Amino acid sequence: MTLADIQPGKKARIVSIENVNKLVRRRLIDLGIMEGSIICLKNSLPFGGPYTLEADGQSIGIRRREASLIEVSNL
Amino acid sequence: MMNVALIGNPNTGKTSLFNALTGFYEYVGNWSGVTVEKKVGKLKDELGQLIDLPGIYSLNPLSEDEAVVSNFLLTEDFSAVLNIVDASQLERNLYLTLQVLEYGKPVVIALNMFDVAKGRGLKIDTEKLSLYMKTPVIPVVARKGTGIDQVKHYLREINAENQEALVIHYGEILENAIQKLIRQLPDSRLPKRWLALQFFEGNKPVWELLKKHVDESVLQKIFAETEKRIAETESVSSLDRYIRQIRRQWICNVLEKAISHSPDRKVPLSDRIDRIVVHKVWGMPIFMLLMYLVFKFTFDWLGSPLSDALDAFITGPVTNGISSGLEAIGASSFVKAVILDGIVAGVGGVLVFVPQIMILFFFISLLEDSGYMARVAMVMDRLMEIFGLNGKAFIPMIIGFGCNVPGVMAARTIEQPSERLLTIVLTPMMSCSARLPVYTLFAGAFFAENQALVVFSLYFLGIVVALVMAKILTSTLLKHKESVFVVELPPYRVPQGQVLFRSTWEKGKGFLRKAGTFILGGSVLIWFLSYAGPGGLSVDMNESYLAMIGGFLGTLLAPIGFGTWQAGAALITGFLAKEVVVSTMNILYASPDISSLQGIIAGSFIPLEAFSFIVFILLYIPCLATVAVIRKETNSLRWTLFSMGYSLAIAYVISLIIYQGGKLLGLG
Amino acid sequence: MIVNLLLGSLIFGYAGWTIYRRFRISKQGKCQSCSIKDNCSTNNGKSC
Repeated sequence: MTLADIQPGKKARIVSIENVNKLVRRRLIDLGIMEGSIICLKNSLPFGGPYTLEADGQSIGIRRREASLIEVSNL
Repeated sequence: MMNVALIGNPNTGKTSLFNALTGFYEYVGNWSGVTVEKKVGKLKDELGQLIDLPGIYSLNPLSEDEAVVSNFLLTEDFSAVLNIVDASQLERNLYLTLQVLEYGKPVVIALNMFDVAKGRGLKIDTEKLSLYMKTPVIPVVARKGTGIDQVKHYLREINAENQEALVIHYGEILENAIQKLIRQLPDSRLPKRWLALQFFEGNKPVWELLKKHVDESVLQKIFAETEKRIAETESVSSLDRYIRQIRRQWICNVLEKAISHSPDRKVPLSDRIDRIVVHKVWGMPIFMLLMYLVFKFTFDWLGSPLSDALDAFITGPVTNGISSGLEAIGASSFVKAVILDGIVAGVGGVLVFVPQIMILFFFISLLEDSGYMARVAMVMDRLMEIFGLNGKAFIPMIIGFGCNVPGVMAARTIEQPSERLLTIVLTPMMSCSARLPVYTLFAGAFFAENQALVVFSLYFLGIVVALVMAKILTSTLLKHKESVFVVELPPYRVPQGQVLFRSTWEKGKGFLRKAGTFILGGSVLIWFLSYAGPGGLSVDMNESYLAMIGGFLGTLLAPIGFGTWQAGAALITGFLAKEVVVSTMNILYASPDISSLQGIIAGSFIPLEAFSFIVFILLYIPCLATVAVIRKETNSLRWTLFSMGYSLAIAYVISLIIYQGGKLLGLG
Repeated sequence: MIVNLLLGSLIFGYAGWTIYRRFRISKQGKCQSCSIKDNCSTNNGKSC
């Protein structure tokens, strides 16, 4: 299951961010989002636009393609 | 003399703290990357200097602005570090703190946004934190100025001697490798263990430095061997991940002891606002509406009446006063002409637009300070993706509406190098505030009914041209790897009136200074070139030197609708600064004030020609200062020349299409 | 007469100086009409 399969408003635990683009991965890690983090999908923008995510009080935006490369599991 | 470096994550209130400590105003914004270069301020109470560095998450840099900090630590002499930490995001903030503590200079930690953390239900024991970090930890609320005195107190206590560096054990394999590398390093003032750690983390500036002292193949061998051995024994694939894991464990251990959570957490206000402004359906319309309101305020509701009043004041009391003053001291007609026809016409013509420019800068400051800017990046990303850019590239463009120079510099926050280059080259297409006087002049003369609409269409045209160029460039010259996008969304904050006004003033005051210096000088020069000619002084303006120079350009410009020598001359001077176009025209058409100038140009242009002219002004070339900053940022003469050349070509083609197309449609 | 000479040379002297200065400042990539005038370049490795 990937982050793109999560319903908006739901939370999940990150299993792997290994497949994400190198630059994005580094930034996610910088922001404290990595394997084991609990992440909440807040909302998405239309026409395949980016997702807003929240982890530990920190909001970030990433593209849908990148979200679909983040493997997650249900809590 | 003490040199204190201010280091912290983006959006932690670094610049607010800087301002509180130095009393020296600096530009504050609520989006990552406001400080794109280091800035220096004098600490209050003669303590020394405070150096504000760009916000970073880790000393190991990812984008250009982050490399500034690594380079600073490697090359500059400083006595202490003031580390600002967001109390509500301790875990990731302390990651940077740890790296700084490993460096071994005295560190004072300012725990900012203590109030926000409390609101989130966090209880932080600063004494315990201080104990584990072995350095003072002070709770502050930088925006309100709480705790600042304490910070100053601790800074004063610092003696210049090096503090003992924090040492964390990184496991036997890595520790052995660190020792092995340290033996190869020459003695310098840089801490060897820190250098070795940063090296193994993959810090590029550190690699570059070490390469000067140690053979590159040796470095690569140590790195590869260590990484291989770590991968064999631990469950991590890369060294930087391994180092990070160890550090995070250390941080988690500390936080477990120093922090307690209280269970009741409200939905933060930011989340509630975000539900609306980055809403699936409403996100884009809200952004459009906000931009529309900004334009309405700037041009229609507030700006124009103020500009008109100022114009009346300059042409009335000011001109009369100067005129009778000159009369009284018995000035010659030559001196009267240079002052009244040159300086007053030229400088006054530009000063009139100060209210509109200030209003625009005010709104840009408001967007930056509130935290909405990062949301704009979100909302625009899908659209920008179509053109091979990402949403973050839109921020430099909005900044560029104020002035292209900081816009070009703001492109540093873009991670992907080719996307950054593209943004730099395209930002000058954004209509900066210096171009505004030209539009207002012409729109007022020809399209008085639809002034706001015409000006808006120009801003829009600039964006469209930039996006189309992005598409063309990404499919030809800059065929780059995939475009990436990741943006931090900081919590919203209510902009403080004082900060906002100072930030507006800071942006706008340069415009006033320019009016008093360069525009004044330029006006005198232009006036003189139009006063003198091959036939001597006080010639008919059409026989002047300026008419000769402008006339040559004018013939080239005839196909796009404005083949007069005045237009040609205005375009040359406009390269130095765009608003000089208005000064030039005011002098060349010998007009006493803007409204009569509007009357004169209404007689010498037709609406179609006028529109073609302002479109040309929008696009034809980045101004001199922007060209220089492009050269500096791209570090490439070829791209700099390209940015000038393509603007000129595009401007000519588009104006040609507008003018000739308009004539075919019977508008001419 | 002296007043005219004085005013004339003052005006033209000041004008020449501002134009010269503009070129010098612009070459460094600094813009007078924005906030980052007081920054320091990290490229040359000097602090202000």
